[in-house]
Amino acid sequence: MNNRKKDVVWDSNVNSQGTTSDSIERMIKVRFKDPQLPPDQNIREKYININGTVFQAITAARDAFNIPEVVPIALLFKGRRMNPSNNLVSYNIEDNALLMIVPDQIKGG
Amino acid sequence: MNSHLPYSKFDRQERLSIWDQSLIEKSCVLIIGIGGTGGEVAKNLSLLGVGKLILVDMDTIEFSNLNRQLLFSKADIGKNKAKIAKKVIKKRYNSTLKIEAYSDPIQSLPYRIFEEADIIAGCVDNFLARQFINEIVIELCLPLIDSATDGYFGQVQSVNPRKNACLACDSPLPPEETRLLSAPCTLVGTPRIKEHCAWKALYEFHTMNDREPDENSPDDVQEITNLANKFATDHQFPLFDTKEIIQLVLYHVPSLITVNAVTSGIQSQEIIKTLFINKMKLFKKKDQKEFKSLIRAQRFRIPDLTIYSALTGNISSFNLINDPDCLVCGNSSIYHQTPVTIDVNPKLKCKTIFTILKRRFKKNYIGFRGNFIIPAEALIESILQDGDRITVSSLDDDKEKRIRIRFNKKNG
Ligand SMILES: [Zn+2]
Repeated sequence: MNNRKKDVVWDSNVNSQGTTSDSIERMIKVRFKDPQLPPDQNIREKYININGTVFQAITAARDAFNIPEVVPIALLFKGRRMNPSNNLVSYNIEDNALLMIVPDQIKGG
Repeated sequence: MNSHLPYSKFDRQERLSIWDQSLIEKSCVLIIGIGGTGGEVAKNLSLLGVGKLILVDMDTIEFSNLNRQLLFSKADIGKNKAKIAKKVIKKRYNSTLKIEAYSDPIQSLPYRIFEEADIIAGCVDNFLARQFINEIVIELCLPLIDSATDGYFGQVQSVNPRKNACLACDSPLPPEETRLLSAPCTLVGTPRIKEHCAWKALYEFHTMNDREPDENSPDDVQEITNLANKFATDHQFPLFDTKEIIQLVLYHVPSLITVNAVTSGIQSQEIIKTLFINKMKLFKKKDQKEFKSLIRAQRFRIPDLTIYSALTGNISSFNLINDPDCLVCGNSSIYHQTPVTIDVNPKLKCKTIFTILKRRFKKNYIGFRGNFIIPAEALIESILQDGDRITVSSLDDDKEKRIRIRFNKKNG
């Protein structure tokens, strides 16, 4: 049942609240890149809490580029798609890291 | 027939460097999903001169398909997409093409179809089918070029097993799909969650009416809601309202022919490039070397993920690396193991498979094919074909194995 279990990783509580029990704030500067914008406008710097969740980083990315909530987005870091319910620390993100914004949940055929 | 013509019909593409028509002609592409993108990919590949196409789609043609699915016309409404596509492609685009069409759900396709393909074009409209295809390509080490569209957005992902990310790497399915994950298996069994009742109702609607329900028809929506509520009552789940039913089983994402055309164009091109790379070994040593240096000189690359936005007009591409802990392609995946071959008499019931496994491994098992549970009481030959592979899960310790079924009338 392994691969079926894997998909239950999504944690809607962490997702919708965007918070975890670990709330110590430690801010680092990251660069969000929206590749859909022209090269001279597609990078914005933001400070995010490294002890927060990926979901919080996604919210910061929306904020940086005014992306409305109805547009599903995901973040890529060094070629890995970041799971919204994971903590940012688990990705070893360092100061000045580049986080790519990509559309999420595209499924039509 | 056309031997009097002074040049080949592929003359214009044969003028390209990094192009070899003979490699394309020796290739077999399995296209899963013959809708907005799959139909376009089938058209493109037949015109590009691919040797063999295998088309798979269980859906029937609907009126709402006709704004973008050029292989179909009004007269085809209600007929199977793969079968009509086969007929039209052969007549309109390439009469010498070898082409097969299947109207089965992908989970019940004979496994040999996947083994025959050089590459899979994933053109499906849901995450469940993608998950099944992804597992097969990892198991067979087969390249997959998968596409998806939603309104103004299109994306193409190239899965090169054991080299880059698969569709399951770092990518948990969205919550609603997770809840529905085991839905198809319950078509024959007991609904385990409320949503399964809605899927059973949809299946029942298909069986009774022999057509797709219309999301805009209040009668169809009510009929499915009533059916779903009958199952919900029988199995003590809360009842559905019509809005819930539309959202769960009838909602279709918005689709544009322009986005389909761009996305399927990118997908078709990446398929051809992947075929060149994977079939280059058919060349003589000297020609292989020459081909490789051409590729280097022209900065040829196959991106892992390409995204198109019709709103901004941008096409961007990304690298995706694999997740070593991925349960489909990661280090401990069952899809990397050599499957256990079981000899069975196809005239016996499926439970024979589990009896043989119990004898061999001293554990109790149930079987899956994708998300279908293999019914123990059904005849093997009614569910499986010779050479098919299934997953069995131990009821004792939850460990899984891949099993290859070999038909042998004397065994079992
Ligand atoms: Zn993977």
